[in-house]
Amino acid sequence: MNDFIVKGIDGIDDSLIEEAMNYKRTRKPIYIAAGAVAAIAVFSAVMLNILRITEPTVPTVDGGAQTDDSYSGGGTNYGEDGKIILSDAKVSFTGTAITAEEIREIIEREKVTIASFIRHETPGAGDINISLVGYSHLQTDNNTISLDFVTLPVFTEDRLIGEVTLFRYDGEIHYSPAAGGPGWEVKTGIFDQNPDSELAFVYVGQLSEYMIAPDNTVYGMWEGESPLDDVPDCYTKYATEYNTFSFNKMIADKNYVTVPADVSNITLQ
Amino acid sequence: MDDKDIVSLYWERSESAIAETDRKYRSLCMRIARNILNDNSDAEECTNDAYLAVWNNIPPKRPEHFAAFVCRIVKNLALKKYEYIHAVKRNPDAQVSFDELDGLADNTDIEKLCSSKELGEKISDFLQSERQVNRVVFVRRYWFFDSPKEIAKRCSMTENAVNALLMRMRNRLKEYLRKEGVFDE
Repeated sequence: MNDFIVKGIDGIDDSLIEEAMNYKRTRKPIYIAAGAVAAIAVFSAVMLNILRITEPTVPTVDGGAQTDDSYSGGGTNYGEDGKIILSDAKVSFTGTAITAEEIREIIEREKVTIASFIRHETPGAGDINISLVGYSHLQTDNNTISLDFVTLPVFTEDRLIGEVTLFRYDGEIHYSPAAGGPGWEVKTGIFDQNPDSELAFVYVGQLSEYMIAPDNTVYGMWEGESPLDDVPDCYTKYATEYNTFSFNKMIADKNYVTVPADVSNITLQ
Repeated sequence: MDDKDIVSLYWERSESAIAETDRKYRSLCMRIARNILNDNSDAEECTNDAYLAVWNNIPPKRPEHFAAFVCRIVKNLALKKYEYIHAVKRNPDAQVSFDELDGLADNTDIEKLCSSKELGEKISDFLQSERQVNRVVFVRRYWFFDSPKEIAKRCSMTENAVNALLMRMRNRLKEYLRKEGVFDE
């Protein structure tokens, strides 16, 4: 044992100790069986009786959830230096893309419940908009995009406040809203910096979502190094029509529905 | 009860100070001690000793970070006890945690280049330059001696990711300390 180093670490600032003591990363992904929620009196009753957990949740960022079954939990390869080894394979696709008609149908049917949930996690949100277009994610462990999953941004007049992920499972399309936590501010900032760009969305390893701009700038939810930094021309390598999204194009095309602030089908406790 | 109120109770020499400390921090203290000692009864003894030590130190001290103050005392007592306990009873997680740190310094003369207090400040500076989640993972592993599995649960990560992150951080810390002149070139 290196006593000196141990003593050094023992002498770190109290604030660091308390930070580590109190830290717990919370996530709020919930899977909801489409069509199962109607007018519900008590939100906790929704949680207990109506919501269906259909498969494991794999978190990506605070407040978000990766629901992609192509996710290779435990399969991430690490090099001797601890860095994630990215796949060299060509991009491949699995599943069946969720069509625009299917998206519109489920969002029109469930928009109030989705908005109610997200409003509960975002006090003072006002009118809530749910995009009718979104993006799948490329999983860099195997360079695969599962088309059975698509993520739709949820936003207010001036910021992103959540997402809803649609996914095919057992012959039906289900939805999973996510909100709360500080990650949405980061993502809002990324969209603000790239309003017209078709950003490419990828998952790296088991935790991290990254967005790549056409100029190959890589944005993560955290500051610091990115496993994609060493990938030359990574936008060309990872961007496809299925995992790219432009916020301004969605707005310009009016490809979203709005749930007014006073509309809710859930009484929240 | 708020930490400042608990500290005030110590200053008033109220015996309820210890009861309130116990109510709020017993599970945390037990965990820290158990992580090092790997024994419930030793951890319990250590925790109770720590309360007495807190009582003896406040006053005159009025710690700004009371929780960290209590944790430090528990940890120091546990480490002292650790030295006297047969190796077979040591918590393998804590031992591995120590072993991981061995790679950080291979120069036996490093103590001549920097005091442990200065080293603590340098490590704090290094941690402050890291992302929050990195800081937490590092401190939970090497200050609290949590296992990678426990850290993974706390930080919503996998054990693989925790171990990889720790490896990268140790490498960065080693490089940082070398640049800071703690180690010989």
